[in-house]
Amino acid sequence: MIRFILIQNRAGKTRLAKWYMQFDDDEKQKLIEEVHAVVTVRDAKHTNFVEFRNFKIIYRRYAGLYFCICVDVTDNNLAYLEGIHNFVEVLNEYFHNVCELDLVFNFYKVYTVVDEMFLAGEIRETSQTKVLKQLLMLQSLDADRASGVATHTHSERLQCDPRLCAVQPSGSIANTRLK
Amino acid sequence: MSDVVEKTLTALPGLLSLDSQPGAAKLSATSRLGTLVRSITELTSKNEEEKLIKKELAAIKEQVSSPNTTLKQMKEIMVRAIYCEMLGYEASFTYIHAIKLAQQGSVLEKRVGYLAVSLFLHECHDLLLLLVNTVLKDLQSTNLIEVCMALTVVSQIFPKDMIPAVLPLVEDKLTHCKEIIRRKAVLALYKFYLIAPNQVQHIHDKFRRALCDKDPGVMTASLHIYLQLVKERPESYRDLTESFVTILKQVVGGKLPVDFNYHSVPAPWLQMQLLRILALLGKEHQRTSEMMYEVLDESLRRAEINHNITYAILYECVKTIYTIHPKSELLEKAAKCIGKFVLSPKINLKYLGLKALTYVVQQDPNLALQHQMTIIECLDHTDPIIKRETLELLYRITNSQNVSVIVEKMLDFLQQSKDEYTTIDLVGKLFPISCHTYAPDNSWFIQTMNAIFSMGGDVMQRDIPNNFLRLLAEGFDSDEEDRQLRLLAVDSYLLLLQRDTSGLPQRFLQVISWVLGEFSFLKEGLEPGEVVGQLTKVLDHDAITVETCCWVLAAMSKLCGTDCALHRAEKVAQRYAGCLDTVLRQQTVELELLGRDLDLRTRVLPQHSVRDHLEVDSSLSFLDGFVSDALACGAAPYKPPHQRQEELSQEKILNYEPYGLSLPISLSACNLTDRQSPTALSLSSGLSGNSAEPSLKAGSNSLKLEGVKRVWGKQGYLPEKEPPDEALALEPSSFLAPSPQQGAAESHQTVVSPTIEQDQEKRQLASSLFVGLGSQNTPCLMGKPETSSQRFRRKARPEEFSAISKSPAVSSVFSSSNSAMDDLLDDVVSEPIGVCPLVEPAVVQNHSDSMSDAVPAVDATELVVASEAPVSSLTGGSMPLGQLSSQLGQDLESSLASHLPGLLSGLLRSGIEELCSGEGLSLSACKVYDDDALVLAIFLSNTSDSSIQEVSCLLSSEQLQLKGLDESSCSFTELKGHGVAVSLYRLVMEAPSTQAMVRGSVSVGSQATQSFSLTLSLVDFIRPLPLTTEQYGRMWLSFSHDVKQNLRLLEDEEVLLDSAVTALKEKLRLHIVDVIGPEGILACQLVPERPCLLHCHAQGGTLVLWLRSPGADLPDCLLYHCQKAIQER
Repeated sequence: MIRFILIQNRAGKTRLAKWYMQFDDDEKQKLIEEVHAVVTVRDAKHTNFVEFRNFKIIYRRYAGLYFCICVDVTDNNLAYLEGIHNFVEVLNEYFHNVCELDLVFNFYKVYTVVDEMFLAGEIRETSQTKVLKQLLMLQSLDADRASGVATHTHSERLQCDPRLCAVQPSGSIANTRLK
Repeated sequence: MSDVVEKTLTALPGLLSLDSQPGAAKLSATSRLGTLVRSITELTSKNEEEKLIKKELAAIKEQVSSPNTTLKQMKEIMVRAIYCEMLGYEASFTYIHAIKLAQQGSVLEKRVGYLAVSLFLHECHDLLLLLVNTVLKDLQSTNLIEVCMALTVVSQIFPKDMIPAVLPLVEDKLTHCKEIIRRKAVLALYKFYLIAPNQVQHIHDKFRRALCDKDPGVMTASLHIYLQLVKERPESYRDLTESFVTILKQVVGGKLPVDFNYHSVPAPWLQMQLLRILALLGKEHQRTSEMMYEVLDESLRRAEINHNITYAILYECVKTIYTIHPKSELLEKAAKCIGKFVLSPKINLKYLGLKALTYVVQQDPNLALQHQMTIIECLDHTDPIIKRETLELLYRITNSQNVSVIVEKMLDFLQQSKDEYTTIDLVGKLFPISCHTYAPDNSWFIQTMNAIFSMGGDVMQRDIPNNFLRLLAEGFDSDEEDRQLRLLAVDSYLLLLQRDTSGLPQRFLQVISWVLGEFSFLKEGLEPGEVVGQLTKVLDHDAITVETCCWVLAAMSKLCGTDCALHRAEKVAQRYAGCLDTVLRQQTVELELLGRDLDLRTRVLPQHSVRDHLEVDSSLSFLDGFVSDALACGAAPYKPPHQRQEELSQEKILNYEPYGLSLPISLSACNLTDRQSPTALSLSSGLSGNSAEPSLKAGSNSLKLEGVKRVWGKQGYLPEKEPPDEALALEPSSFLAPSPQQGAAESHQTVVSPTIEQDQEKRQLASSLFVGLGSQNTPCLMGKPETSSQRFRRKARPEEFSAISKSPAVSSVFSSSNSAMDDLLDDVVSEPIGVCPLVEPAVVQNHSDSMSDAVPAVDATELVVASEAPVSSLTGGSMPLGQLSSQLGQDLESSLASHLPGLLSGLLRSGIEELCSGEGLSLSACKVYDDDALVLAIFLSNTSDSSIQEVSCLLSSEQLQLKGLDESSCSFTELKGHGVAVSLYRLVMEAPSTQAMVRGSVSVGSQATQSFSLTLSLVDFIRPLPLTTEQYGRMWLSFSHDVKQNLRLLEDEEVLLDSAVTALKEKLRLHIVDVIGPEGILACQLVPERPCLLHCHAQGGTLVLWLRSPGADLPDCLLYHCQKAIQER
C-alpha cells in the first residue's frame, strides 16, 4: 500500500506531497527532509529503491525532479517503479511535453492527476487513455481556458527557469524534459 | 543570465492564465498565485522564503475573513493556501473555508474545496465532521462529477464513526450505470474495509458482484478488497480460485481492450494483483494450487519482453510459484528466472533477484549455492540496500558452521549504518542467531553479545537484554559449562569497565551491572570491593540514567560481602540518600539495610539462587497481614489499574479528594509487576522468597527464535519438503559445471596475478558462508575433495578444512545445549504467566447455573481445518489421508469423547473434528465451553501399533492468550500403540475480534511433524450474562462504547423480533433479559467478565440493533456475528 507520494526537486523543494497515512504537520516536514536526504545522495548506479524507516521508497529521477513513492516493504518494487513512469507519461501527455515549470505552476492540477491514478493508497487506474479522458472531462469544466498551457514554446520556458538550468543533471534519464 | 530571467517574466503571465474568464479582477487574482510561485522560485535563502510566505499568509487571512470575498476569489485563495501548506507552512485558519467552499461552491469551486480538504485534513481531524453533510448531498447529486468528487474524498479521508451514514449511498453506487462511479464506489468500500472492517462485513456478496462486473476496471478495483479478505481468511475464498484463474488467463491471453496495455503488456498491475491473490489461496493447499499451475506456466512464458514491467510480473509469478504447493516443473522454471535476475547487469533486477532468493532459500538452499559468487560480490556492493538484502539472505541460511562469518558481516554493516530502524531490525536478527543455538563457543558468544549491545545501543528491543540475562541465569545442561560462560562474561565486563565506559549504552551498562552483581563471586581471588569500585565509576558519568543507577545499586547490594565492599557501597548509598526519585531512593535504602544485616542478605539474596527452582507466591499472600493492618488504619483498598481507569472515565471529573495513604509496601508489589526494574530480576522477587522466574518468562514470549527453530534442527537444515529437483540442481550445476565466475577463475589460475588472490579470498568467504548448506551428504563446495581440493590446494586449505574439522566437536558440545534450548522454548510456550485472569468463584457459580438453561445447542460445524501438514520427507510416503479420515469420522465422537478429563465432562462442548493425520498420528480437536475461558482439547491418537516417544503438542496464537491446563498436558513421554493423549489449552480473547486463528504443531522427539490451524469465532468466547431488567438498565447507562445498526429484513413486525431474539439466543448464546412489545434486551459477556448489552427494536421491516459495552471493540465485533446470526436464520 502507498504511504505517501512526493515530488521534489534536487534542492529539496516540494513540488507535490500526497499523504495516504496520517501524520501531523511537523512529522510531514521531517519526512520530506529525510526523503530528500536519503534519495539525493544516491548514485545513478544504485537501485531505485531505498529502505526508509519501516517502509521503502521507490524513486525515479526525471530531469531535476525526484518522484518518490513510499510503500510497504512487502510490495513489489518494480510494479511501483513502473507506476511512477506511467504517471509521468500521463503528465507528459496532459501537459504536452511536461517540464518542471508545468508542475510548479499547475501544482493543483497535478494533484488531480494523482487522485485519478492513485486512490486510497492503491494504484487505481493504469490505463493512460482512460485517465486522460477523465482529466479532459474535468478540464472542460474550465471551458475556454485550456489553451493557456500551450501558448509558448517549452524550450523557452525551460531555459528561462534559472533553477532548472542550475540543476541540470549529468547523465541518467535526463534531458531537460521529463521523460 | 539577466536576459534569460527577463524572458521568463514576460512569458509568465500567459502561462499563469489559470482562470477561465479574462477580466481585470481575475487577472489580479491569478497573478497573485503567479507572483507567489515566481517570487519563491527566485529566492535563494530559506529565511527570505519564510518572510515572504508569512506575508502571503497574512494577506490570505485578511482576504478569507472579509465578507466581500466571492467564492471565485476564495477558490484562488485556497490554491495559494495549498501551496503554502505544501511548502510546510501552516495555514490552519483556511481549513474551515476549504470546507465551506466544498459545500457552497459551484462544481469548479467545489473541486478546489474538496482538493484542499483532502490535503489539509487527516482522518481524525475534528473539522471533517462538518464535511459529512456535503458529502451526503453530493453523493445524491445528479451531476456525475459531483458524485465522483464525493467518492474520491470519501476514499481518502472520512471519519470512521460516520461510515454508517454514507454506507448505503456508496452501496447504491455499486449498481450505477457509469463504470467510473462503480469503480470509485468499490474503492471507497475498500477504504472502509481497511479502517472499519466490521462495518462492511454484510456486503460481501456485493463485492462478488463487483468482481463479476462487465467492466474490467471495476473488477480490478474489487481485487484490492479481495486481496485483503483472502489475506485474512484464505479458506473462505478458495471457491473463487477458479474465477481468479480464469480472469488471469484472459488477461494474459490479451483478451482485454488495448486501453489496458502498458508498453504492450496487457494490464500488468492487474496481473500482479491476481498473482498475489493466487499465492495466498494456494498456500498450503494442494488442490487449489493444482488449479493454477497452468496459468502460472503461461504467465512465465508470456512475460518475455525485455521491459521492467514484465520483470515485475515475473517476480510476482516466481513468488507465487514458491508459495503454493510445489510443482517441480514450475519450480525449475522459476529457479531459472531467479538466476536470470541475479545475474542481470541491471542493478534493480539484481536486487529483486536477491530478494527472490531470500524468499526461496529455505525451501531450496541449493539455489543460493549456485549463485554464491554473485552473493559474495553483492556483499561488498556500494549500494547499502543491496548489501542489506544480501545479509538478509545470509541470515536465512545461518547454521552453526557459518554463523561466525555471517555475524561478522552483519556487525560490520551495523557499525556503518546510522539508521535507527536498521539497527533495531538487524539486532533483532543478530541476537537469535548468535544465541547458543549456533554459537561456536562461549567466548565467541560473549564477545558477539558485547558487540551487539554496544552497537545496538538503547534503540534495540527491550527483550533482547532480558533474554540474554535469562540465558545466563538459567543456564544449560551442564553446570560446568554454565559456570564457564558466566565467568567469561564477568571477565570481559571487568575488562570493559577498566576502559572508558562513557560511550557504552545504558542497556549494556545495566546488563553488565546485573551480571557482575550476580556472578562475580565465580571469579576466584576477586575482591568484591574492587567490583563495587568499578561500578562506582560507572555512576560518575553524566549521561547515566536513573534506571541504570538502580541496576548498579541493585548489583552493589549483592556484593557487600566484605568490609571493603560494604564501605564503598555505603559511600555510594549516601550519595543517593536524598534523591527525589522514589525507585532510586528505595534501592538506596535497600542497599544500606542489606549491607548492614548479613543474615537478611543471605536470606534475601542467596548466592546462585537463580538456578534453583523456587515456588512463586504470585498471590502475595505473605503480605496479607500487612495489608489488613493498613486497611485497618484507613488506607484505600487496592484497585487494579484497569478498574481505576474505568472509574475515572465513568466519572470524567477531576478527583479533588486526597489519595489514600501511600504505603511503602506498594513498592514490592510494584517491583513484581514492573518488568523494567532491575529488582524484578533478582532483588525484591528474592524478598518474597522467589527467583527471577516471572519477569523473565514474561519477557520471553517475544523471544524471536521461533522462525529459526523450525527450519534448523540439531543436525542442521531440516528441509520442510523434499526439494523436487534436488539431485538435478546439486549434481551438475553447483559442483561439476563451474559458474561463469568459477570458470574464469580457473583459467586465470595458471597466470599468477592479483585477481586470483582476490578471487580466492572470495572463494574462501564463499566456502565459509555456504558451508553446511544443502542436504546432509554434501557438506560444502570447498570441502568436496574430488572436485575442489586440487584447485585450492595452495592457499585455501587451512581455512577450508578448519570449519569442517571443527564441526563434529562443535555439534557434540552443543547438541546437549540445543535440546536444552528446545525444552526451554517448550516451557515458554506452554506456561506463560498471567494468562488467565482470576475470576471470583461466586460469579463462576452464577454463570454455570444459567448456562444449562440458556444454551440449547452448540454448533459444532464451525471448526475449520485450515491446513494439512506437509508430510515429513523422512518417511517418504504418507498414509492415504482420505481413507483414514472417513474411517475416523464415524467413530470419532464415541472413541475420543471418553478421553476428556472428568473435570470438563459436565461442560458444554462442540463435536469432535479431525484436524490432520499422518505418520501414525492423528489429531482431532474439540471446544469445551468453560465458564471463564474456552478450553481447546487436542486429541493425539496413535493410529499405529508401535508406541511413539516424546510427543508434544504446541499451540500459539497472535490474537488469543493461551495456556496449557497443566504442565503434563502438552507433552507426553510415551504414546502407546492405538493410545490417545489429550492436550488441553485454556484460551482467552483479550482484545475482541470477530475471529482468531490458533496455530499448532505436533512434534515427535524434537522434530515438528504436523502443523494445523484452527479458526475460532468470537462466539466461542461469548457466554450468557444473566441480569435483571433493573441491573440491565443501570449497566446500559454506565457503558460508554456503543454501535447501532439498522437491518432491513422485510418481515412481519411481531415475528421479526421473536425470531431474531431466538436466533441470537440459540446461535450466540445471549441471555434474553426481557422482551417488551417491539423491543428486546439481551446480555452476554466475553469471558472473562466483559459484559456487552444488546437492545433490539423492530420497526416496520427494520430491526435496529444497538450494542453497548465498556470496551471499544467488543460491540463492533459482536454486531457482526449478530447480523450473521439474524440473516442466516
